[in-house]
Formats: sequence, structure tokens, C-alpha cells
Amino acid sequence: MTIGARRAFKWTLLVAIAVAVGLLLWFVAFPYLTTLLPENF
Amino acid sequence: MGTSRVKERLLAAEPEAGAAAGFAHPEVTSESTGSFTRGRHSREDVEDQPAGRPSVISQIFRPIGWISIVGGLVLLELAAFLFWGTGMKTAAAQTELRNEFAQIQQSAARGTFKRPVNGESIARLVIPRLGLDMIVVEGVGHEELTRGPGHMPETAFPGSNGSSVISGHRTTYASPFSNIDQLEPGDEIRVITAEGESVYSVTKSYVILPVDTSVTLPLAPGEKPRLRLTTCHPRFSAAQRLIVEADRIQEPRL
Repeated sequence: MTIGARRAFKWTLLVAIAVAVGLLLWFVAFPYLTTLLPENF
Repeated sequence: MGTSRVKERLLAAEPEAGAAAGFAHPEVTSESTGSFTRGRHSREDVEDQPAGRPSVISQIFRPIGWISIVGGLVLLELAAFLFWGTGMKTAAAQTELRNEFAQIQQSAARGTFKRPVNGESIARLVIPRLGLDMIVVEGVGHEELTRGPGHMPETAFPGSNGSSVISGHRTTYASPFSNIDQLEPGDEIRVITAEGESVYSVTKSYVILPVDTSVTLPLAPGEKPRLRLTTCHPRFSAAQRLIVEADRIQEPRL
């Protein structure tokens, strides 16, 4: 594997993980968190 | 031509290239110490810190930097979720509630009417001045208010002969009551229920503490049927409640 290909793979993996974590936060963690807030404004 | 002559010529033409090639220039280097005197760093400095190995400071601050960046992005996403993401949920719920409310109106026209349970649509609230047109649900719990403005169950039914209270979010969940502070005396509020359309006229607005429950009290004898809209105050805070009061000027009319 060339250096360029390794770098591209590394960044693709990082972006994929970031998107997955972002979606998990948006659809699971944040909706749950808002139910724990004492008051919503 | 000997090797020493080649070195001398090369150094005379390109001293740095000569140094890079491993030839010592007699004017810029010291053979006795072996130190490199022209650059910013001595040869020992360079040897102490091999290329590609981060210093202790950067080893400490790099993870802190990454944690700060990731934490900042998560906070930004949380803010986006609160201000827009929650609104998407409310918009989807409102579409569902409109269909439900249309069915309720049809069944009321056939003479069948059942008492609504929490979360069900009970009325359509229209405030022309604010461009607001939303379905009101029964209940003011967290789950109910994520669907739209909610009717406080212990108060009179909207449009009826009593004191009715409708609460709504000011900042999150599509912020239905975001701009009710802009309502002025005389502005119309229309409430459409299965019994028909009632019209209210704004009389005043004021701010109270959340512990003040006087707005939920029934009407005193001789008072006009009333509607109160309540929301959080100031914006982005739940420290107080903003109340907009309106007197009914038209009874429910089909």
C-alpha cells in the first residue's frame, strides 16, 4: 500500500467514524439528554 | 585533479551544498568542536531532537487540543440539535396531528366526540400577526410539548366558557411561542376546535415566576371567557414565564 493510499484510508476511516458518532449523538444521545433536562425552554 | 581540489572548488561555488555533501568549510565550521556555527541550531541540538519525535510540551498539549476540538464539535452539534433538530421532530408530529385533527372534526360533525387523552390533538391555534398556525395537543408534559403547543388539562377547554391556558416552547421544538412578546392589545388569536372557531382579542401580557400558578385559576364571577398563552422568559431561559392574556370576543362558530 502506498503512502498516499494509507493516508486516504486513514482519513476516510476517521470521517466515517466521526459521521457515525455524530448520527448516534443526534438520534440517540441528544433526544435522551433532553428528557433529562429539568426544564426545556 | 585530486579529491581535495574537488572539495575546494565545490565549497567555493556552493558552500551549503558542500556542507550537505559532508564537506567541512574551513571558514564556517570548527573542526575542533565539530559544531555547526552558521545555522540557528548547533549540530548537538539537532542530534538531541531527532526529526519526527514530538517534544514533551507537544505530547502534553496535542491530546488536549484534540479533546477540545472534538468537545467543541459535540457542543456545536448539541446546539444545532436543540435549535433545529428538535424542530424537525415537532414538524413531523404536527403533520401527523393535522390529519388526526381533521378526523376529530369529522367525527364531531357526526356527533361522536370522545375526551382527548394526553398528546392528542384538540384544537388549531392561529395567530395572524405572528403567522402562527399549529395544532394544540392535550397536556403540557415534556412529551406533549415536543409535538406542539399544549393545553393545560386542569383549565377550561379552549373556546369554552372559562379560563383556558395553552403553553408552548419559546426556543426549542419549533419554538411555537417564540414571538408572542410581540403581540399587542387588540391582536386576534383564533382557536378552532371540533365545536367551531372562537376568536380572542389580546388584552395584556406580563411576566411571572414559574411557581406562580395563579394563571390556572378559574374565572371569577362576571369575568369574560379568557385564553392565556404561556411560554418561557426570557428567551433561551426558563427562569420566568411570559403570559399573554386574551378575552374571547367570538363564541365557537362552525
